[in-house]
Amino acid sequence: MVRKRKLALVLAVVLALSTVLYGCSGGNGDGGSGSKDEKVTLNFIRWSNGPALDDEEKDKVKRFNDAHPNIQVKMTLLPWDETFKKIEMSLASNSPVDLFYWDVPAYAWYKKGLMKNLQPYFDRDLKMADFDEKLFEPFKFDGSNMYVAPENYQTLVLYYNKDMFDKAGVAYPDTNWNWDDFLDAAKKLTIKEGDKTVQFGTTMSLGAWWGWMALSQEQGGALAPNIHDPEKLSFNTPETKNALQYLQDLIYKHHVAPDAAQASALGGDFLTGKIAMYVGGDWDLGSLKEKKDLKWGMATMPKWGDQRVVPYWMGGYAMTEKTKHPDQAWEFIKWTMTDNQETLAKQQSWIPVNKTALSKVETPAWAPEGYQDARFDWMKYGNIGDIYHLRWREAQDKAISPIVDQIFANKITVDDALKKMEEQVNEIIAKK
Amino acid sequence: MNTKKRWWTRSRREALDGYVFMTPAILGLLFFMLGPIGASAYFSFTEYDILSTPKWVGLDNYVNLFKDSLFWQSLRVTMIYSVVSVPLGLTVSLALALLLNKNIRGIFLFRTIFYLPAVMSGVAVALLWKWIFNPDFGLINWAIGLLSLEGPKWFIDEQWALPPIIIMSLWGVGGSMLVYLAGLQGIPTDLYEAAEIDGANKRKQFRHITLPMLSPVIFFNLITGIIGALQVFTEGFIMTQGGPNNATLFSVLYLYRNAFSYLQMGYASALAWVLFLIILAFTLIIFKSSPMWVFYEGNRRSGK
Repeated sequence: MVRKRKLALVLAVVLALSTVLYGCSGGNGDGGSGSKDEKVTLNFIRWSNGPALDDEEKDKVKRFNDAHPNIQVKMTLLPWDETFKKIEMSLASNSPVDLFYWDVPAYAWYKKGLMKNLQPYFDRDLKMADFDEKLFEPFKFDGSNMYVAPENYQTLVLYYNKDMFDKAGVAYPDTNWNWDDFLDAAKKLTIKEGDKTVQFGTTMSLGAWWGWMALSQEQGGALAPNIHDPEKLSFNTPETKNALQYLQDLIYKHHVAPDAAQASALGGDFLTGKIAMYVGGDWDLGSLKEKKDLKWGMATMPKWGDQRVVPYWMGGYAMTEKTKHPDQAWEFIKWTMTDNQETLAKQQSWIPVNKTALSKVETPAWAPEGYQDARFDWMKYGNIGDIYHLRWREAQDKAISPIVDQIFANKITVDDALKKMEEQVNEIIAKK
Repeated sequence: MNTKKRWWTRSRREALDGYVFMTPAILGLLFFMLGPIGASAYFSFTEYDILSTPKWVGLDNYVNLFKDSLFWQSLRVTMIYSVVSVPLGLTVSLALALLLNKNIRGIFLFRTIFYLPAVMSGVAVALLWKWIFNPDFGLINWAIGLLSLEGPKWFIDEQWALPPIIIMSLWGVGGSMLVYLAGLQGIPTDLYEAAEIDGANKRKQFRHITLPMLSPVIFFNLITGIIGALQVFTEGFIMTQGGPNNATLFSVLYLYRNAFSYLQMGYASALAWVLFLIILAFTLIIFKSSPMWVFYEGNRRSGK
């Protein structure tokens, strides 16, 4: 008898432990999307953009939840890199997140069939006349169906420090500037004290691949004829050579931009008033508008010769294929593309995609001169600044970044670098 | 009745109790350690992107590994780091332990101060060192500047990216220092007294008493040091992102990127196993060599 009781006890302990252990992987599915009145919680992951922008996102979700008593969007904000790992893990499990904010690494999930085709919802609920559909083309991953719902646009603009221009007696940049004018001004705006440069005309803000690609695109260059799954990428082209040579020369020939060591030595950037001008994303406006003691202006990105192409990017939402509540998730997406667009226009942090909202965008009180042109002119000649390929991230890490490091450390000629880059990148993207 | 009683003896009962109490640990080992280890062994023979089902590819991952120049680069970086940082760490921590073994007033304060860095969080420390090594206004180059020399471009120049990480690793010697200290205190003082009577000076005492008596502790610190060094990750991940031009691409960092950035869990698993085999080989070599130089009390140096 005693023995049996003991055995039972052991079994109970083992059972209890195994329930604990299996508990974590157990069912948390609530089964089916259910009826319309059922209260549904949607898991949504996006990356954090710093306190100011995050507050706007939190407010957005709150307003949606208040207006939709049966749908609760639960947003998780993570650092950029972390975001994609977290979503990936959730996709590998049985209960993936419902919604996520798009960026290029997510293209891999589309390739694996894990992103919901949103086209049926677009057809059902949206008037495409409200949008500039041509600009949405990049999100038609298979050529005809939308997989990401765009909410906002981003672009590149030229920022400049008015005080420094005044002091050097240089005219402010305008829409007619090309990169030669940019260089001339940068030379006049660079100040040396003895051997040491204490103020640089500009920085290497275009050193990332999308920066020098923008310069190449202005000359008519392109990495590939098709941004979706290109089979081959061309780096070793005259346009890209010119672009990278121009940037390398800013440091080593004209000495108007700091190399990596000088940049760290300067201990500051445009925000702290050590740099006279730079071309950067309009997402920098968020921190610039808070900077009351800095007198800054804006202009369109300079032309190459007399040609201008400005890159743009889109922010938007996507749904996972296995979400249990696609209809409710679409409600949120639709709301961000319609009802919330005017709020977006008022907040001024992002450029809205809805034409009505866009027409209501006013020049905010904090906006410097040149704001309207710099921020909205690109719509006439905008060109998407992305490449969508399963191995793009790997190509950047393994080939593009290390080689560009060498270019900007003046350890390799642009010619050799681009030959090497083309060879290595194509080897990576050709891998199955 | 009688037989039953005999079967259920006190020792059997104790054994059963033992197993019951061991269950959580054993289950934990099975599910959280052996399970994943087995899985990674399997994945290393597959093409696996986390998102879809693994596809068996045999030895492909291992073959590709040997053709992958970045794998060799990462191995080279990790080896250089280990070969320099481990002996350096062992020496410095031993020197510190010897100093802190002195019987002076306030020695506990010094011991605390020297151990303190070892308990500080890795990321904060990494950022602190980034400032110290800043090529233009960092503490180190400022000091070099006082000698009217120009300091190297730490972290920016390829040749000077790894050395600061090695120097930085000394920040964490507190742990092995503490183990040395315990070892030093365990050496019976009569050995030193006897040596003194025989006329041995301090240096001879160190060579013939301290070092042999401490050899099991050195052995322990060497093994843990090598294992830790071959798995270095945080510094490359946080301070340099593997750059410039892959000069600080540690093996584990490369593994991490393959697993989580490039969606190649199978390849990453193969890399993990190769790294494991390398660590195992080093450990075995040191274990095999230990009878030659590790001295245990009551076991006269006899070899084996």
